[in-house]
Amino acid sequence: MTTSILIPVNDSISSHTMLGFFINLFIDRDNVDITLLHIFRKPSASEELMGEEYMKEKQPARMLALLEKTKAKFIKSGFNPENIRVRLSTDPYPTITDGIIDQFKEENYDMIVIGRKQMSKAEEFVLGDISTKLMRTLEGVAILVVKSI
Amino acid sequence: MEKNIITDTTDFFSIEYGDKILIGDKEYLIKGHERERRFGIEDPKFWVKLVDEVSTGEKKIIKLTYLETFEITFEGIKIKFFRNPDKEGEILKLVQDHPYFMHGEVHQDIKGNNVRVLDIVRGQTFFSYIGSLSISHKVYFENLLPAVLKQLVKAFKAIRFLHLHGYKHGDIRNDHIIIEKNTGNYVWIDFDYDYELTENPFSLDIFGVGNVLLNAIGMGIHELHMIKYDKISYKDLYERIEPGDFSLIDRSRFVNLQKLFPYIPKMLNNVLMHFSKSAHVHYENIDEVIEDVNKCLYSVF
Repeated sequence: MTTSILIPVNDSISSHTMLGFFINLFIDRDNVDITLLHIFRKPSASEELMGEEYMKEKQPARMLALLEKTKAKFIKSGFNPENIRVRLSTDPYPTITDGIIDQFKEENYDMIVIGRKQMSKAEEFVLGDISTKLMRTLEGVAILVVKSI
Repeated sequence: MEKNIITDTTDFFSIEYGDKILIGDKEYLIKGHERERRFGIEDPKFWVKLVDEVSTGEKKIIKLTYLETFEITFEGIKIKFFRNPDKEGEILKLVQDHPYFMHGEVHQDIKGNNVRVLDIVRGQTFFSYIGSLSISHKVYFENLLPAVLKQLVKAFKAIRFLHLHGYKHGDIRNDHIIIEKNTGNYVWIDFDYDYELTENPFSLDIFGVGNVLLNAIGMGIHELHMIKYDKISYKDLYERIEPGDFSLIDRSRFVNLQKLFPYIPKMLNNVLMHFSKSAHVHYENIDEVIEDVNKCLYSVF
């Protein structure tokens, strides 16, 4: 039976750590169906100051390149190329968590793998922790949280 | 001396007593400035004018566009705050029939500046109401707190209404709730502040709600220096407190009120402890706070 796995990816250190961990994990590489996903969040006021061109044109191309590069790493480590998809969700969501939840509901994955940076309790409360929110919100799914130091 | 008729409000400092602002086909006579009343200091807010509507004589408040930005650090987390007059204008339209928000109209002057003409909410702030009580905490807790919490739940539901529509209040404070004289409603005022928190946009509103609850349940806010030096009121509490008894993002604010008032039931104290340093679970949204306070209202009082 094939296990479908959703892996949200961005260019953060925690995402990089998570990918490194997952690629080295002992799993049946022929029986997993992996979706590498990047979510765009609605820009904040200060991000909007960076300009439309940066937000709407350069960012998607940059993130698509990141996803393709990640896919190549997976293939190199023995994953079946036919079972790896990349998905760039260019319609922005209010938050990354909203985007992951929405994308998850479209396909009903068996597992989500997500990176998490080290946070203080205050940071967790004020800034928000995607992994905690996913665990609270989603049902019937395994969530693997890879914590970076 | 002849005073000015103002149609461009850009330079709000120069608009003074006796001038008239012409906006939305109505004239408003400037009678003074609103003041920020905190920490025993009164600072004039030159962008907030106290006015009389000339045709009716009705007293109003006019808020002019002041694009202030600043950064606040909470426990090492830097957050950018800014005034967002357009947000306040949009909320005013959204809540025009809502009994738990201040009401008013939003206009643009000839230069496109946002001008909000607000109805005055008559009454005492929640902060001054709690501060004015001269009864013991036990008497307050047994006789007044249930009614206060019932009103607060209604006010928190109003904040939930904003969140559901994608808006933050932005500056939830004990003095931004007015206990409306005629209705007794707890009415929210001043929602032009905004802040940038992209992944958890409502967290500081929820933190503000925690502070309001802390003031309500504690019959005032209890700070570390008060506990340390006021031995008559706090007795040996200073010797019994731990870092985990204090606020998650304000290290001098005492949260574990059960240590001070042992008759506060665990269930109610636990609501507050979600905002403490020792919390392992935080409130993710305001629904969770409302649900827990409601449970206390049904089972504690």
